[in-house]
Amino acid sequence: MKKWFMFFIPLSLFSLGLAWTSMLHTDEKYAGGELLVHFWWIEITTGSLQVGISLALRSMCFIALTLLFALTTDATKLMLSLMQQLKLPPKLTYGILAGYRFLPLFKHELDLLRQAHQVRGVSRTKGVKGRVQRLKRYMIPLLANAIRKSERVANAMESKGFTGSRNRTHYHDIRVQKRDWVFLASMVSALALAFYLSYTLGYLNIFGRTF
Amino acid sequence: MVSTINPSIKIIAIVIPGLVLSLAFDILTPLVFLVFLLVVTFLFSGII
Repeated sequence: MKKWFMFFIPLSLFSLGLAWTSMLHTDEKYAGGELLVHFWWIEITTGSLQVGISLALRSMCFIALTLLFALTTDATKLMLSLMQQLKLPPKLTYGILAGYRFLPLFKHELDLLRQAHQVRGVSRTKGVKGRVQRLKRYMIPLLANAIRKSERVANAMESKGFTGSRNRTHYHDIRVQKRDWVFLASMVSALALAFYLSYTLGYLNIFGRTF
Repeated sequence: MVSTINPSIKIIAIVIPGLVLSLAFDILTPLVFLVFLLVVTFLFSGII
């Protein structure tokens, strides 16, 4: 929950900024209604306020949806599920998975390279030029190691019978169960309910057209 | 907490409402859906 708030609060501030900007620069088509605030060049009408709040709420919904996915999904299960349910090619799936697994290793290698350069007394020049030089020094060994590692992984996979064919068995079988359909149905039903409520109360507005 | 929901179904369940919600220009529709999302996130975090 703490982690969720750590992501949601800063991103919500971004959506409030978005709302404020759209309130100030609303299209004339939507900016009608009573003038609420008039200060210097700032003019906020009921129409522009509604557009701003609507935009903020929608972006908060997108943030909540993204966090719901990002914070609760295991990367390995996601890839296996994409391969088994959405029929993504195994070559692509295992490539992404291997790349994802390599990320912490690259960080470790970068630390080793830094320490090795420090031991050998390579000077750390400051400024942008120094940063570019350092990047050049780290890039080539990192890239060489990455290629070597990926070749080893590819050889290991081929030696174990990996051909990239879609007709393959899986050690971890990811299945679609009843609770998955219940989750999908509940999300769609909640959205339908939100639209229905707005429609019955006379608030529903799609692309500026009130229903 | 890691979810027990199938990730592919989760993607579909998140993308469809996201796309449809972007059509609503009013305040009530995203507000109701946001409340639902918060309830789902906090009450069913162990399952979803």
